[in-house]
Amino acid sequence: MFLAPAYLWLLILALPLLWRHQSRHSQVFPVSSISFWRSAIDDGARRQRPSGFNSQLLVELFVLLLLTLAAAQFTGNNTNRVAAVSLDNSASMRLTNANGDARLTASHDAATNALRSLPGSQQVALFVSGFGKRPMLHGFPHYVGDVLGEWEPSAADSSASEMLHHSMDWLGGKDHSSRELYYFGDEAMSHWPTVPERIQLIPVTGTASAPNYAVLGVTAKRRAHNPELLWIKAFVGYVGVGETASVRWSLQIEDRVILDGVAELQSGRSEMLSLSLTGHVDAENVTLNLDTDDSCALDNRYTTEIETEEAIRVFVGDSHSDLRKAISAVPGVKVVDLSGSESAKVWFSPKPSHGRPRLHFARPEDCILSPANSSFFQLEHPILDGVDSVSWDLNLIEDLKPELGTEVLAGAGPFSFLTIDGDRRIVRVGFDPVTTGFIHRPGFPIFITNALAWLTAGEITSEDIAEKVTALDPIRTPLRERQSRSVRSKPLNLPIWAFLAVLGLALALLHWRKS
Amino acid sequence: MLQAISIDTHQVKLKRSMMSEGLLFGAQFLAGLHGLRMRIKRQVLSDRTGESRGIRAGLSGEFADHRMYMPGDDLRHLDWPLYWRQRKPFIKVSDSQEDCPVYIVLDATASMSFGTKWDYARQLAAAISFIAIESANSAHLFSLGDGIRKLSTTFDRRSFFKITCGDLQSLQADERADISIALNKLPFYRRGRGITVLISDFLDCSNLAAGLSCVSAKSETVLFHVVDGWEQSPDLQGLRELEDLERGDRLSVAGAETARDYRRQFMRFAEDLRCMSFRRGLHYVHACTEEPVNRTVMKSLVFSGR
Repeated sequence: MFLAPAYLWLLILALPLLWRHQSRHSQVFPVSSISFWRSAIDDGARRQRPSGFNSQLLVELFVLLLLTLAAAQFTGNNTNRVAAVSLDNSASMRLTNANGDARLTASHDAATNALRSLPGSQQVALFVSGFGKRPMLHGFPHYVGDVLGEWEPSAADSSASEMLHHSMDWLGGKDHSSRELYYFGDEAMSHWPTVPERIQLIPVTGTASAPNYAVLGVTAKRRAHNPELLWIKAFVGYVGVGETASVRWSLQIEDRVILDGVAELQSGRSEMLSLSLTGHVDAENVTLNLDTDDSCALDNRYTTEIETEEAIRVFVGDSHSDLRKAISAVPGVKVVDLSGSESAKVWFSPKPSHGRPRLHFARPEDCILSPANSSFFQLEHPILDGVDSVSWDLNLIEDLKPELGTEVLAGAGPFSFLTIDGDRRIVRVGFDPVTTGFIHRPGFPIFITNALAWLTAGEITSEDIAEKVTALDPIRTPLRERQSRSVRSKPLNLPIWAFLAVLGLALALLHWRKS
Repeated sequence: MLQAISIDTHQVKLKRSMMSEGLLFGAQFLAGLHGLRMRIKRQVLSDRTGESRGIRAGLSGEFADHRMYMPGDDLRHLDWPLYWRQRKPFIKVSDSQEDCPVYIVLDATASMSFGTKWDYARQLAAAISFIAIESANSAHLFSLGDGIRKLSTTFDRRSFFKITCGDLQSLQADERADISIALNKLPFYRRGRGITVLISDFLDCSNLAAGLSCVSAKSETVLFHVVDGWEQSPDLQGLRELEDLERGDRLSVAGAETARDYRRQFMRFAEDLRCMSFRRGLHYVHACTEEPVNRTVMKSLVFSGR
């Protein structure tokens, strides 16, 4: 082992040091007392520059340190590399691909082969749906691969995105230089490019003669834990003479406007429009328009009329007094307090009986999807017509958890699920409207009105029922380029000791040039 | 302390005896010391008769003062003519002639063995002893080391100075001790008032102030700060590993800047020692080995201003 090149280099570099050390010891000079010398060195230590010997010693020690690091890098085990392998065994994996292969079997084989091809010293964690936050297995790749090869996977009623989220958390908690994520499944994992921030100056019609401008900065990004969510942040600011200005904005995908609103801007202050789009939306096709027509106003736009023939009974919990007040403020809605109601849930239904349509406000952990056909509706659904999502704190909104056996056709969005169970219509709101400030928004009464209109509508048409998924895209190749922390930053391929070595050589050259 | 007095005759026998002690205390060394005498200004107190003025009233016959007759006084000292004139009895008081002991304390620690310091210090001790003997005083030679050791006492210049030179010749500076501790014991070896000459490099003293206080008590004290020429202004080039002669510690130093800082430190130490001596009424003599011994002795004479 000591004949390795690294050790020989260490020996070669150590020889001149030893020689200088021995020669230094041979020049012993007796003096009366070294106390003055010691105090002189102590006093002059600050301004004393290193001698040639000390400089050489420092440079050589630095080179020795670099070589030691390099030797450790060459000969040591790669315990600082870690990878997470996620095998998707969600319900959608029961299906077969277009070529007739079973998805789960194909994913299982691909995961086993990938594990066996990983470096033997790498730490690997196997994540499978249904095991919660902890990995199913943890160890070296060959061990995990052998165990996985003998294991016969079965599709579970769980979410692939949740499993990926746990994988991300597990990787994010590791302090390692290299983190990799391998995903085997049918979840669309496209990496959407980040839309570069665009700053525009748009003239705004103002009351004063001086030109006014609205500043629009748009940033669209995808979260690492939920890549299907396209999060758009638009900062709209007004710079002008007048105190306020109304700006109409609209968000459109390709040629279709999916969301719009009006922002009341104050001069010198900016307002953030936080919008989100779910599903496979190409960010390049998303457009956020800013209309400078200030004739529109908030009051004009959000005027609604409620057409109800009978009073609506509302069951309100004690802890949701704000929600009760907000609901009771909706025209045509009558709030009736009943004893024994749950504090965590608010059932909002024309008739509180089973089999009747209902509007369900619940916490995410309590809002469980039923196995019935469920469809996720986007913001362009009629129930959200006229409802803005301006200034919502999306961080407070959590995804809904599907119930066991539910086939999720699309990921949970920030807004709501629409469930059609037989002839019953249910609207579930998967976030707390009080905490998120939804009840204080002008769109809240509109939402209530729209929900009541949809719940009390006529017969269920085929358009309301989601289409049955029969064929999905074939399984994709495993994604290796995905890192845990940031999808923007590209990891450095060169180890740190390479940079240190370059720095050490530069110092050595500088020292030799000076000497 | 010292005073140059021209004398007419040389002590031939003494010179011959000194020449026989080798080059350290040879004829050339003694030739520069002839004509120097030691005279102490303060009144001395000793139990031996000498030529210095004692603090006690004596019977030397040299009138000093009158005092009233007290019962018990010897009537032979009564001044009868004054009695007849004043009708009052007065006693004639005369000075006493006592010996002025010169205590020569030589630092014999290992730090004194650096360079030519040890030879220089021994020559200084011999010179002071020679002058003391020439001044009809007694010279007491001590060596400082792990303790204080009395080497010899010279009363007669014709016989005992040779012994002193022999003791100095055979004395070695190889002890490793703190001289400030040994100096505390010096008062136990002294008898009466006299002159104390301390010859040392004063290095590695833990509490030099306390030691000097013990030395200067009831005694006129002269400090000879023996410094080697290289030690005072070292010429250090390149890297050197220095070894402490007394403690054996080693220290690596390099560069001319360190030597310059050392010179600054050493000069500061010498200046502090001189100020400390001045505050305590001691005579400080900077004795560099590059200077002849007789000139250093003369410098101490000039310094004392007598």
